[in-house]
Amino acid sequence: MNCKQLLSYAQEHPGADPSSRFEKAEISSHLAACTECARVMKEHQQVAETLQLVQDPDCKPPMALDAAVIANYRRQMSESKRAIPLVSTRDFRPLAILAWSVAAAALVFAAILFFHPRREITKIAVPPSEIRTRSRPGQIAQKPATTKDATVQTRTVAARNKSSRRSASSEPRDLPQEAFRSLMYCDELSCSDAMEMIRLQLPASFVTRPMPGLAPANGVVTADVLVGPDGIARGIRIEE
Amino acid sequence: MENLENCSDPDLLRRAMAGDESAFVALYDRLKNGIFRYAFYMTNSRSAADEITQEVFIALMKDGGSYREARGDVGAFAFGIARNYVRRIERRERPYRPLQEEDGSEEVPRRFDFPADTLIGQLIQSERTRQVQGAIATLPDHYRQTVVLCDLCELSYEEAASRLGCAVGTIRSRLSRAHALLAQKLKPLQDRPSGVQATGTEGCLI
Repeated sequence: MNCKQLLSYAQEHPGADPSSRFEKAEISSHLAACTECARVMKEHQQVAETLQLVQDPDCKPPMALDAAVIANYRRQMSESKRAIPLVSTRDFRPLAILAWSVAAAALVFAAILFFHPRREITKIAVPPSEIRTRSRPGQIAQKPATTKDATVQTRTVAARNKSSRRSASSEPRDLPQEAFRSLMYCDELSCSDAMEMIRLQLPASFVTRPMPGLAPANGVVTADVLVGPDGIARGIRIEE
Repeated sequence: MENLENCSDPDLLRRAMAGDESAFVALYDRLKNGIFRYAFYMTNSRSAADEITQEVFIALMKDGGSYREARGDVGAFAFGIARNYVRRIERRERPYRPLQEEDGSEEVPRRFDFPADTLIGQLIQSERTRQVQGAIATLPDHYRQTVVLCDLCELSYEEAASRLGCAVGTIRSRLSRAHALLAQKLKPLQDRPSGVQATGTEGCLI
């Protein structure tokens, strides 16, 4: 055994006696011949003995520690069980955010509807019986026009001559009944209740019949539509 | 309980985390001695070892989900937690540590030859133990960990390598180097001539 082998042996078995008699004899013979190895081995032996001073055979966790650790475990488990609803509440937080977002969006939509300019709707106070239809040739109004009708009609026509473009936001007024044409699915322009007049802008291509003097600007035609209380359009008048 | 004795550490950890107290107790019984001894020898304090052992098992239940079986056994995982707590306590206690001598080595007691069963012999023995503990504490951390695990906790080289996450050869070389350093530090303890001679009147000190 040389010095390197001896030191390697000392590293692998620090402070331990050689297990076999052969090893013991080899080590003893080398240590007797080599003073340096003997010094190193003595140092190792002394360190091993000194370290035994530090070793405490009673180094065991006390019973109180066992109880404390188990109590900690129980507390931790109970806290984690209690924490489960909190976790699920956290999971529902996105739903709450979504609900608030939907509510805010609904509020904004309602505000837009409230402040948006409405369609111009004019209440017509004209009894339907006074409106004469001329939608279909040969169709005869159920109720004959009265003298008042003629007056109204004349006056309206005159007013229309003055200004063909009348403001739709004007107050309920006498209408030029002749200008209104009954729509095909409506038997008569007869309605027991007041009707609404709605001003629309239609593409000129919607007007199939040739209208004298009709020169649509930008291909758009303005029309007034009479709508009954049941929501059914009763008549239409092309303004321009 | 007999089933738990055959359970592996990872199984016990999983069951304990799921709320099985008997599994936790079984795992605690397996690991407590190693962790407590390691903490005690690293800090030289029973109260600190108590604190570290408690914290390790609290952390084990809290962070046990991050344990990966492929990276080592549960003992090594718990040991890693214990090592972090030891470092934390060392940082906390550093301002209160007594100053060392200028040459870096503590004053070692002179060699006395009083019988260990006498009171003065016990005091001297206790002082020597304290000085050896001080010498171990002044070792670099990786040497100190190796000495504590192999020499004081009496783990095998393979177990120490598993705990420290290094090769067995590294443990051997570190231990050899640590012993050489300790021999240098403890040399005055062995070589100094006795400054006090036994006069036969030691009983008068009491």
